[in-house]
Amino acid sequence: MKQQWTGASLASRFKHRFVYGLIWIGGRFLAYLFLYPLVLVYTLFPSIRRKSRAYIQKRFAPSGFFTFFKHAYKLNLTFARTLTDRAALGILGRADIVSNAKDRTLCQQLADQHRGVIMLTAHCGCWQQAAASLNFFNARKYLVYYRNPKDNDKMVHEHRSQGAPFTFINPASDFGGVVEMMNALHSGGVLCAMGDRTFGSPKNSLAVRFLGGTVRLPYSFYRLAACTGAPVAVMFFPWLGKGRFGAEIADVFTVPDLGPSKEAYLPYAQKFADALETFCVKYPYQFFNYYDFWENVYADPR
Amino acid sequence: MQTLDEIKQLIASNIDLGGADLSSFGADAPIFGEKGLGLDSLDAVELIMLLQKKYGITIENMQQGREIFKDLGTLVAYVDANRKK
Repeated sequence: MKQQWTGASLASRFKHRFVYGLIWIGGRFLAYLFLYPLVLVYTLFPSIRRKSRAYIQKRFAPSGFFTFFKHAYKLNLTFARTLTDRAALGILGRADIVSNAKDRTLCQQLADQHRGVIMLTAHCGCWQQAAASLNFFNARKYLVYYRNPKDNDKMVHEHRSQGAPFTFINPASDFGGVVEMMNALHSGGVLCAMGDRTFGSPKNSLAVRFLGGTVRLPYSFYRLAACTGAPVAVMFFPWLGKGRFGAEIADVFTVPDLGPSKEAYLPYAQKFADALETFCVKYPYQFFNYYDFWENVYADPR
Repeated sequence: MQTLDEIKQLIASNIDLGGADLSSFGADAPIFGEKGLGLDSLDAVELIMLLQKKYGITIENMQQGREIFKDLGTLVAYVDANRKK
């Protein structure tokens, strides 16, 4: 079983710069206007449609080509809008984060326990903006992030030529970055990570049910939670319209130390998958894992 | 030698080595990667926690981790020099 995702951008560096230019000139509105034809042209390419085929089939079960194309276009358009909003946040410094007081209080309570917090999210909604706007956690933030050299999107702080508001931990570094992750949690920090992507050895993943199929999710974060006592907060950041995104806590749980057997942590990975599925039902065009999430999952890599 | 055996026993009892026989590995056996014990990043979590629980040792950063986890010998030397338990 090989890693299916690459982290490379769908659009070229030039096209990203073009949209950034539109935002500079005419704000978010002008950029949005160009997105409709631009995304349509992109969606006409079979190679682009192929990237979202697995999700669309699982989520919508389209009956024919035109229905499939409609879903692919809407998915790509929402993705383009979230990227535009991310650039607009960086360039113009404007975005509205919608969250409820109960969730904000809960975030702060988790941080105040000084055991660290593992904030698991996924490649859906406006996770990029959220990473730059995690002010509701009053603690130092760490972002587990692998950047493909072919990733052409600028992160929010890069538009402003500022330092990142978080410390990066590269999962491709020595020991998968776990030394830094553990130290971040021990120091009471918030460790933000993607719970929907495996990295490195596929043996460190668990097979869970998701949208009528089986997918593999990373298991390391649950083991980290068990070892350090840090609570896990599953959070998603749906795109709510022009320049607005939500911050929603989908689940919070602690993981007891069940030993090194990965199967013991299956219920926790399933909790994450269930929360993600609920998100995909509520926001059907906001799951941006552009590869076949369901491929090659049946054989246990061990 | 005693610490080496102790650490080998600790690893064998707590980390899945895929059937590898630890008695055949000497102090120069790499801990991570394909050669040697073949531990991976997730095994690093287990190993760090084991060192903390058994010897009261914490790994401060990746640079330190690289030096300590180079092979069984460097790990043994670090444990002998820094153990609190």
